[in-house]
Amino acid sequence: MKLNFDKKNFFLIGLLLLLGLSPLLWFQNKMLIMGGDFVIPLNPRSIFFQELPLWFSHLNAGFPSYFLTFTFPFNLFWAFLDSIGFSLITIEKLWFVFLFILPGLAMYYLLSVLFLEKKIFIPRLIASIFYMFNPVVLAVNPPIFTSYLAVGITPLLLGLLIRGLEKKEEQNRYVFLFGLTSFLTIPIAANPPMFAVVWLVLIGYLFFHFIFIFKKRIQTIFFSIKVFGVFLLLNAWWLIGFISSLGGAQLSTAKVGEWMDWTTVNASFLNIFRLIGSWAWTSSAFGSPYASYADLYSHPLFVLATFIVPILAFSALFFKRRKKNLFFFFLLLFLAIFLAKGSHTPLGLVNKWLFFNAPYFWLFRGPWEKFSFIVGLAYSVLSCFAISEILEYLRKKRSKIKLLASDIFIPLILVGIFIAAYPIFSGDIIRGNPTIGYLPGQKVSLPSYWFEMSDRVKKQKIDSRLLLSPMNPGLYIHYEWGYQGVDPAVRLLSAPLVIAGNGSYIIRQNTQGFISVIYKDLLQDPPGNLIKIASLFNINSILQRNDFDWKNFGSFNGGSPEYIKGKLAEEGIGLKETFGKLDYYALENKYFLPHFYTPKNVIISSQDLNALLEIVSQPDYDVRSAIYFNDQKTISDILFRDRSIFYNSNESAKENISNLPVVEFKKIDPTKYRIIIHGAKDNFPLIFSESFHSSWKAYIAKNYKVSKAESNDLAGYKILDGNLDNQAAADELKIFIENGEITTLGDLKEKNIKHTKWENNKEVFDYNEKYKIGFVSKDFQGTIQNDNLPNGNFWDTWPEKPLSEKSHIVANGYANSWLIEPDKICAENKKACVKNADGGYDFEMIVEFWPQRLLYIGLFISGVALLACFVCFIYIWIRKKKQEKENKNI
Amino acid sequence: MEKTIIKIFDLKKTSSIVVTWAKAKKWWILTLIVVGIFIIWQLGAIPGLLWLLFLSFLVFEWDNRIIALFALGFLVSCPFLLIFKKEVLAEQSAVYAYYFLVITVILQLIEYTVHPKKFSANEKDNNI
Repeated sequence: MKLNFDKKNFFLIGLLLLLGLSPLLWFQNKMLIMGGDFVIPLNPRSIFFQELPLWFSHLNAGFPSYFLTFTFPFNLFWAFLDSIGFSLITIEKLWFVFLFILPGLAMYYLLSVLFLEKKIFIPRLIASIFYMFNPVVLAVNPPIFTSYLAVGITPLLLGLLIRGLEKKEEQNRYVFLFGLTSFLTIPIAANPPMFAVVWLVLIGYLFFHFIFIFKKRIQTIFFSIKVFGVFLLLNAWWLIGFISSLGGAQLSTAKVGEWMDWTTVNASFLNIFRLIGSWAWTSSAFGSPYASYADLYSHPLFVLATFIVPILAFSALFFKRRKKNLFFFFLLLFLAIFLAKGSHTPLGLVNKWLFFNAPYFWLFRGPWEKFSFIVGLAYSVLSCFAISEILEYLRKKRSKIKLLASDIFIPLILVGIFIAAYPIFSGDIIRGNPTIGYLPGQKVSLPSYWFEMSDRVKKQKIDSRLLLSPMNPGLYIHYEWGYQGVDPAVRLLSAPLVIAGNGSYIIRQNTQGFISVIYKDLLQDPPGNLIKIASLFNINSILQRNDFDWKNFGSFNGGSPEYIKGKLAEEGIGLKETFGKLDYYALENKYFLPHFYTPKNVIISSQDLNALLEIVSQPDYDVRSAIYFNDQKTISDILFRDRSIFYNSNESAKENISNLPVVEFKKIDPTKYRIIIHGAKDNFPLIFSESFHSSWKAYIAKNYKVSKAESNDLAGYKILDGNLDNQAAADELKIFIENGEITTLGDLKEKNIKHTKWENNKEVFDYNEKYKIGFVSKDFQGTIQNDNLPNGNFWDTWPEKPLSEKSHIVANGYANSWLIEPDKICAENKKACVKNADGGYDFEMIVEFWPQRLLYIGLFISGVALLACFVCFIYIWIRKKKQEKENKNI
Repeated sequence: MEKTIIKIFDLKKTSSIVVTWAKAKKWWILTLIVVGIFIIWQLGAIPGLLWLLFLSFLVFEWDNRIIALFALGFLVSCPFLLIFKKEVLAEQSAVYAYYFLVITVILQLIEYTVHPKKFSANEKDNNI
C-alpha cells in the first residue's frame, strides 16, 4: 500500500511544525542560550574552517581532531546563516526549532510506515506530539545537540529501513534515502555512545527482521549489505578521518563504575516509566538545583500525566491483531528500560557486569542519557497502536457512553502530554538565574567587549598563540556576568589559544604537562621565567580575563586580577590594550619564538619536563633554545657527530649551533606548512611548535626553483591594520630581499581584506582594506613568516617520501622537531637544492599532517558515491515513468 | 475472555474442568512443581514464583494476556501509590510491572514463532 500524503497529512504535519516553534518561548531579552556542555559557535565562520581539518590547531598546540563531525549540518548551518547576515540569536532560534521539529516529523514518518491506515491519523499525531514533548527532552535537551539529533534522526532512519525492507521493488530508493539521511547523524559521532545507540536500534531491527520474518531472510541480508555499503561510501569523507583521529586519545573513564552509579541514582523502574530518571532532577550545584521544575512532578496532576502514555504503551500487549514488527518495539522497550537503569536496583549487578565485561559497553557510562530516548520511541509507537485499537473499539460499539468516551479520550491524552511537558512551554527547560544558590543560568548576555577583543585578534596575521589567564579551574569556567560552562573564549576568539584543560572530555597528554608548567610559573612568587617558557610554546600575547569569577566555584587557585596584573608587570610583560574587563598583554618581540625556528642552543637533559623551570632559570639560558628530554643519542649522532656530549643524571648539557639558516615559512592551513630554508650549511634542528605526533611528516620539495623578490616590488607595500608590532616595515623588508631571505612577494595584484565588526550579536561589514603584498613578519629569531608563499596543491607531497622518522623527535617536551642534514639532503636530491655563493644551500620543505589526505580521499569516494546514487535514482525514476506510461497504453 | 470469566464463577463446572485438565497434564504439572521448588530454593520465593509463572504459561500455552493484565495492573497502581505517598510500594509495584512486561513479551514472541498464523500477517486484512 502506498503512503498517502493527502490534505489531512499536510494539516497534521503543519500542526507539528507549529508546535515545533515551542523553543522560541525559551528565549528572552535577546539573550543567548549557552552554558554547561553547550557553547554555540560564537564565531561561526571561523569555527567552520577551524573544525574542518583533521588537526585542530586552535587549542593547546593542536591535536588530531574529530571535530570534522560538527561540519554538517551544525557548523555549516551556523556559518551559512552568519555569512548572510543573521544574528547569533536568530541562528540559535532557527537551530533549536529545527532540532525540535525533527523528532516530531521523524516519528510521524515512522508511524506512517508502520500504520498505513487512513483512520490512524489522529493516533499518529498524538504519538508524534508525545515524542516531541516528553520529559526525556528535559534531560537529553536540545542545546546538547549531539544527543538531541539522535532523538530526532532515529525514527526517520528506522522508518526508511522498515519501508525498504517491505517494498522490495522500491528498495534501492530507500537505500539511497537512508544514505542521504544518515548525513544528519554525523555530529552524533562526536558522542560515540549516542552514535552507537542509534546504530544498535537500526541493526537490532535488521537482526529482528532476519530472525522473525521467515520468508524474507535473504532479502534482509542483501538489503543490509546495500544499506551499510551506501552508508559507508556516502560518509567516507568524515568516517575515515574520524576513525584515524581517535587514535592516541584517552577517554576520561578512569572511574566508570562510580560514574554509572551517580548518573543512574534516579533511574529506578518507576522513574524510567515516567521518563524522569535523570540524575540532574535531584542534583544541584553551588546551592542551585539543576532542574528547578523537578518538584512539580510530585504533584498528583503531574504524577497522573506522566503515567498516561506508559499505561497506553503497556496496554498494547492486549491486542493480538498486530503487525509482526511491533514485537520489535516491545523488545526495544524492555531492553531500553533495563539498560537505562544502569546500576540501579534491581539487578544492578547485571548491568555492572555488562559495563565492565561486554566489549565497549563502558562507553555507556551515563546509561539514562543514552537509552532513555529509546524508551520514549517505543512508547510512541506502542501507544499509537493502542490508541487506534481503543478508539476503534469505542467507536464500534454504539452506546452513548462509549461514543462520549471516544470523544474525550484524545483530548485527555493530549492534556496529559502537555502537562508532563510543562517545563518545555514555560521555558524552565533552560535554566534561568537562580532563586537559591548561585549557579549561573543558561540564558546569557555576552559582554560586547568580548566581541571587540575578537575583532582585535582577528586582524592579527602573525602565527602565534594567545595564553588565557587566569588558569581555568577545570572543564567548566565561570564568569561574573553570569556564565558557567565550557570556555566560550574557545568558540569566539579566532587566534590559537592556550588554556588549562582542553575543553572536552577527551584528554590529550602531549601538551598538558607543558601547559601545567606555564600556569605553575604564572602563579609562582617570586617572578619566574614566564617569558622564556611562554616563548617555547609560541605564545606572544596574554589575555587576562578580569571578569572571571575567581572567588567562587573553586576558581580561586587561578589568582586574583590584582595578583596577575602585578605578576605580569614583574615579568616585564607590557599591557597593550584594554577591552572592557579584558587586558591584552604582549611579549616583547625579542622573546617571541615563531611556529618554526632553529635553535641557537640545544640543551639535552636526562630528566623530564619537571626540570623545565630549572633549565630556563639558568642565567645563561637564551630564548632561542631547544630542550631535548629524550633521544640524546639521536641528537648527538646527527648534530654533534664529532663531539662527545657529557651528561649524567643530574646535569644538562648545552651545545651551541652555529651557521644557522634563515627560515621563511607560511601556514597554508592547520595541516600544512611551506618552509624555505635559506643558507643551510651545517646540520641543524628545525623546531615546529605544534604538539608532537608521528603523523606530522616533513618532505623535501623535489624541484626547488629559485625565486627572488625584487626591491622594486615594494611600491604600495603597507602595514596591514592591527599588525604594526609584528609586520616587517618597508626598510626591513628591503633588507630581507637584498639578503635573499624572502622568496616572493606574491603576484602583486590588488587584494582586499573585508573587515567586519560585531554589532548586536551579529558580524557586520566594517570597511575594506586594499593591499598588494601580503603579511611578511619581522625577523623573529631567524624566522620570517611570509604569507606570500604559494599554497601549492593538496596533492604536492603524495608521491614523495618524507624525512626519516629517526630524525623526527620531541623537542621542548611537547613539540615536533626534525634534525636536518643539508649535505645529505642535497646529495640525494640534487634538484631540490640551490647552492649559494657562500656554500650554503637553499631548499624547500613541506610539513604536513598526512592523515588530512584521508579527508580528501574520503571526499572523493563520497563524491563519486553520491553522484552514482543520483544517477541510479534518476535512472530508476525514468524507468518507472516509462513503465507506467506503457501500462497506461496497454 | 468473557466466557472464561463466566465459567470461573460456575464453581462446580470449573472444578470438574480443572480436575480433568490436571489428570491429562499430570506429568507436566509434577515436573513444574519440582522445577519450581528447585528455583525457589535457589533464587528465592519471588523470583521462583515468577519463573514458575513463566514456565506454566509457556508449557500449558495459556493466554499470556493474563500476565499482561498483571503488568498493567501493577503499572496502573503506581501513580495512585505515589499520590498517597507510598513511594516504596510504588517502586516495588513498578518492578513487578516490569517483570510481568518482560514475561508477556517473551511469551508472545514464542507464541508468534510457534504459531505465526494466530497473528495475521496479511496487511490487507489487518487494520495495522
